[in-house]
Amino acid sequence: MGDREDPPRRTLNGPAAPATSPGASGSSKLRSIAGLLALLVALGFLVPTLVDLAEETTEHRRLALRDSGRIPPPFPERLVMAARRELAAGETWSLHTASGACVRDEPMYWLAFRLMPNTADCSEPDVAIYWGVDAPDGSRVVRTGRSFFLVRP
Amino acid sequence: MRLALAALVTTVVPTVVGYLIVRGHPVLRWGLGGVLGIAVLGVGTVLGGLAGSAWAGAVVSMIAALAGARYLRRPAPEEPPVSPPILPLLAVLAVGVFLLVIAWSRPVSRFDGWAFWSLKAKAIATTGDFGSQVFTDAEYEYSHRDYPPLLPAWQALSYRISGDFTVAYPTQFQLAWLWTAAGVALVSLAGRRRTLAGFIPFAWLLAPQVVEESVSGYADVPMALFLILGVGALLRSEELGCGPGAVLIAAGALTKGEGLVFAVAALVPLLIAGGYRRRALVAVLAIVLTSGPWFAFTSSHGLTGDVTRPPLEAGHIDPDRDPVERVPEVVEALGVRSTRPSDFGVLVPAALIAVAAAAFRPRVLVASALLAIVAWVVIYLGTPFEVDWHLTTSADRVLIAPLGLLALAAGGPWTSGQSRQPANG
Repeated sequence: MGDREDPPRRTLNGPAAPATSPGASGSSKLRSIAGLLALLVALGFLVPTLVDLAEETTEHRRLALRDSGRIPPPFPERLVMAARRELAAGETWSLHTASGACVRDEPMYWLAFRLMPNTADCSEPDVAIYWGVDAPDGSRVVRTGRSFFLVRP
Repeated sequence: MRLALAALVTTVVPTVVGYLIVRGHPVLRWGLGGVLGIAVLGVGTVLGGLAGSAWAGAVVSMIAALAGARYLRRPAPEEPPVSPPILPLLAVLAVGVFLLVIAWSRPVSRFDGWAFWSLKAKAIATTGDFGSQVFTDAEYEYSHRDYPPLLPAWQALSYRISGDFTVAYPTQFQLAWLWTAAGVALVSLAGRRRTLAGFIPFAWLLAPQVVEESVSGYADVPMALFLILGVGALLRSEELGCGPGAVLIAAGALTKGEGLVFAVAALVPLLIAGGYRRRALVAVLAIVLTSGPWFAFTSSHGLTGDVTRPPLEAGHIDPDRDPVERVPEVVEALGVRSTRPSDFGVLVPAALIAVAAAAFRPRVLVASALLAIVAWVVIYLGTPFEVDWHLTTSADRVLIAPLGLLALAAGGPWTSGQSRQPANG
């Protein structure tokens, strides 16, 4: 299984080494063509790839986001700001949406990332976050916004 | 100010440490040394976190690497080091600068990047170990808690130093730095052969899929970079010593679930091949010493692998899966994904032609690449998820490492420029 490398025959910068046989020279040429082709195509795709990468994230920059992009449907940045202000160190939170309480979906994952180091606790949260749904009657709403309520049980 | 400090401390410091360990041309030392230093720092942070203090682990790993550098470093070769080709090097640096600027100016991470990987980075940064609710509470079961944590551990250092969990720029900067250092290393290793075929690994590095994913926050590209450079360095260990290659492969295994699979696939042919057995054994030992404690932790905390044993409520489960029936679909996906120009350019046909023209040599690397590709197929045959969904969500990313090994086999740095035969052991 051990192997030995053929000496290089076609060179870019250094002197060309003599081919050991016509067949070996042909295969070396084929390898060089394959390498050149792979390199040129990769370089050809490079600029569009970088442009895509920049364009994909331009919206994030326009919205002055610095942590992660928004997820569809647009999750309100004000909710995140309000929750960060409300949560003290070590306090926990839960998320309630039209899908239900503590549903494991993108809004939950997104909020879990944004609100760290405060962690989620669906059984005994210090702050319950209602997004897109009304807070329960009689609950103690501590902060509110256009589409959300923060409730302390 | 602290954001910049976080980005620089977690990148420049390990790069300088790695530079002091690696022998060779200064460009190779900065590139390979940078990746090696990051690997050492990441491994140290994980092991420190498992022992109770990620920060102590990070500091100790850097001090130990510095102290060990004078003993581990190989004597300078008698011949002057070969300088890397300048044009590919400039191309890598140009792309690297672009990625660094993008990473420092806007959030670029994609779904898994922030939802799983960076979430765990914040968790480690909060507690300094793996005791956060993210690793212990069922609320966070969705975040693949069993996945090897080298990437989040390394990024946790940024969050810890900056003290700011609301800005992702330093952690993104880390990823762009890693890609750039790895690119410099790859050009230095592969380009020294001065043949056009030697640039096939370079074409892999610049493939759209690799560049796009490099700063996405996913662990696939870091894992692949550690693995590919590890194999390359291991095969050049007569100059570099066994340590760098072994540590890099171990870091790849500790970066992602598939990392261990691909590392084993890469090492099996080396273990069989007579001339490489001893250095492959060193890599195996490094994997055991670094991944072993993590698997012990996941086992003792009941963090089951949700790729093989997903929780009951997880979606997209296929209760009637039959691996044999999946073969055509998986193989077709392999063919389509790997040859789609917008993903990998013409890397795969070019690499196959180059490998065939070289009479399937070097056999040991060709075998490593083939085994990794077979492992890729087996993963999708064995997964309990609906195979079409699983292929759609991950196949292109998970292909990055096996195709990197194929590119390495097609044109990579498998022997020294001075000595063109594998050293014994």
